[in-house]
Amino acid sequence: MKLKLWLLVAAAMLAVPIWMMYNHEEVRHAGEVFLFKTAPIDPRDPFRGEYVSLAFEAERGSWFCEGLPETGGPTEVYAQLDHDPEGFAVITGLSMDKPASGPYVRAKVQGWRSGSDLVYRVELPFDRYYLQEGQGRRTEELMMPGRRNETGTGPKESWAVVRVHKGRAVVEDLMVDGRPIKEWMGEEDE
Amino acid sequence: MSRDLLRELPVLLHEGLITPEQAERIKARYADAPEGGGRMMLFTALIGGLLVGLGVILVVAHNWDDLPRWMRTLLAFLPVLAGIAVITWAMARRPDSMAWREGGAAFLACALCANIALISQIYHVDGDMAGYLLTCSLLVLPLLYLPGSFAAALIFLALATGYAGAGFFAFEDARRPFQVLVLLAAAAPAYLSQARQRGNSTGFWWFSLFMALSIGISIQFFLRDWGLGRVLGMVAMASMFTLVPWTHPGREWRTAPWVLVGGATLLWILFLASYRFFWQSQGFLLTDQGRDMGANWALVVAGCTVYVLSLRQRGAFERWPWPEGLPIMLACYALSMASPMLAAVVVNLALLALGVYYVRSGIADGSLRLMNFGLAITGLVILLRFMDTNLSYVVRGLVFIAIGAGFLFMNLRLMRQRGRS
Repeated sequence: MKLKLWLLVAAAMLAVPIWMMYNHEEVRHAGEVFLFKTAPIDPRDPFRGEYVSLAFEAERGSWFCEGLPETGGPTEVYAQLDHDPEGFAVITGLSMDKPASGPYVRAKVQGWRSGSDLVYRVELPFDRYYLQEGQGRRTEELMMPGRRNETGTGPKESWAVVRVHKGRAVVEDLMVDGRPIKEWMGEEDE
Repeated sequence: MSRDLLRELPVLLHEGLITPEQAERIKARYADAPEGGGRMMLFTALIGGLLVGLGVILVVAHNWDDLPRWMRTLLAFLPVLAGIAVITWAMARRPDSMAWREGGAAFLACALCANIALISQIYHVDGDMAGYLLTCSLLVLPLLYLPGSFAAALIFLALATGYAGAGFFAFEDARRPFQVLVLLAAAAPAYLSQARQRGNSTGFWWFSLFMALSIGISIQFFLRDWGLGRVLGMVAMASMFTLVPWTHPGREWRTAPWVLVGGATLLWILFLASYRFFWQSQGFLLTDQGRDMGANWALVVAGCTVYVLSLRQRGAFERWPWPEGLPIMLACYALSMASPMLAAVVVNLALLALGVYYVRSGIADGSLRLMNFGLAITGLVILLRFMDTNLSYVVRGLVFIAIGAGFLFMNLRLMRQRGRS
C-alpha cells in the first residue's frame, strides 16, 4: 500500500517538469511570432546558471488601464500586442478583462505617484534568456548601448523572438543585428 | 551484530524461543538505532547522496548548449528517475534501512531541484528565484512522509526559508510570502510523526533545529519595520520556543534546539536592550512605521498566553530562565514610558542575574561549560557598560584584567572541586 502510494507521489513529481515542458512546446508550435526590441543586462542565477535579463522597449511609456487600482502591489492585466510598421512588437493597450480577439499576454502593472501624476509601469511576463557559462557578460558587451564595435558604429540592435499563444509567451531566440546570439558566440569562440 | 540478530529472528521464532510480539519489539529496537558500522553507513550514504545530488546541480547549471535539446531533457530526468528507483527499491527490499532511506531521499531532493532548474534553462521558462524555490519545496515535501526522511526534511525547510527570503526581497511592500506558512504547516505532521517514532535520535535533533530556525527566520520575512514592536514580537516567539520541551513531559524527545534558538535570540535582544538608546524614541523606534503592528501584537498575545499556560506545568525559572525573558521585557517596555534609563538598568540587572544563575548552575552540576557561559554573560555586561563610560584606558585595562582573573579563578576552583569529588 505504502509502495503504491509512493509510486503515485513519484509520478506526480515527474508530472511537474513534464507539464512545464508541455506548456512551453504548445506555445512554441501554435504561437504567433513577435519581435521585442531589447537591451540585456547580465545577472546570474545560482541554481539555473547564466542568463541575460532583458528589458524591452515595448514596456516603456505611460499606460492607462480601465479599473486598475491606483496603489498597492502589482496587478495582473492583459497586454494586447501588435506589430509596428518595422515589424517589432508593441503593446497597444491594457485591460483587466481577457481581450475578445487579437494576441495578448498576461503582464504585471504597478502604479506609483510621480509628483501629481500617476504613472504605470508594465512588466512583461518573460525577461530572461539562458546562455552557456561565460556568455552572459559577452552578450551584454555585444549589445549594450555605448559599446563601440570594430567599425565604430555603436551598439548593435537586438531583439527577442517571442512566441505568444493564449496569453502565454515563450522566448524562442535572441537576435543581435539580425543574427542569433548563438552564432555570435560561436564565432567568438573560434 | 544487530543485523545478525535480525537475521536470526525467524529461526528463533520458528523454534519457539521467542513470541511474535517479542520478535516485533526486537525488530523495532534495532531498526532505527544503527550502531557502529550501521551508523557509519548511514553517514556515508547521507553524505554520498548529498554530494552526488549537489554535483548534479553544478553540472547541469553549466548549460550544455552543445547537446541537442532532447538529450539535455533526458539528462535532466535521469537523476530524478535514478532517485525514484533507489527509494522504490529501498522501500520494497530494505524498508528498515535508514541509510538507504536517508541517502536516497537526499539525492532525490537535490535531483528534483536540478531537474526544475535544467528544464527552466533548456526551455527558457520564466520565473523569479522565489517561484523556483517554492516549486522545489513543493516537490520535496512528499519525501518527508514517503519514505519519511530527516535529510529531505532539512532540505525542505532550507528551501521553504529560502523562498520566504527571496519573496521578501522580490515582492513589493504590500505582499508577504504567505505560502511559507502553508509549507511549514505541511511539515508539522511529519515533525510530530518523527517525534513519536524517533524522537530521541540525532536526526530528530537536527529536524528540531531546522524547524526552529526555519520558523524563526521565515516570520522575520513577514515584517518590514525595525522597531520596538518587532523586538517584542521576537521576544515573545523566542520565549515560546524555549517552552517547547515542556510540551512533551515524560517523553525523551530531543527538542533542545528550540531552547538553543530561542535562548540565543533572547540573549542577543537582551544585550541590545541593555543600551539606553534602545528604549528612546529618537533612536531605535524611528524606523517603525506601524506596518507590522498586527503581526507583532499577534506574536506578543500568543507569547503571553503560552507563557501563562506554561506556569501550570512549570514553576517560574524552572530548568532554565529563558521563558521569563518575555515578562521582563514587557515590564521594561512599560517602565520605558516613564524612564528609558530605568528600563535599560533593569535589563542590565536581568543580564547579570542570568549570568549568576548559570555560574551557580555550573558549580552545582560540576559543569565547566555552564559556568563559563554564565561568566561570559556577566563579563560581557560589565565590559559593555565600561565601554559606554568615559573612563581612562588604565581603568578599562584594569577591568579587563579583573574579568580575566575571575574567569581563571572560577575555572580552577571548579576543576579542583571536580578533582576532590
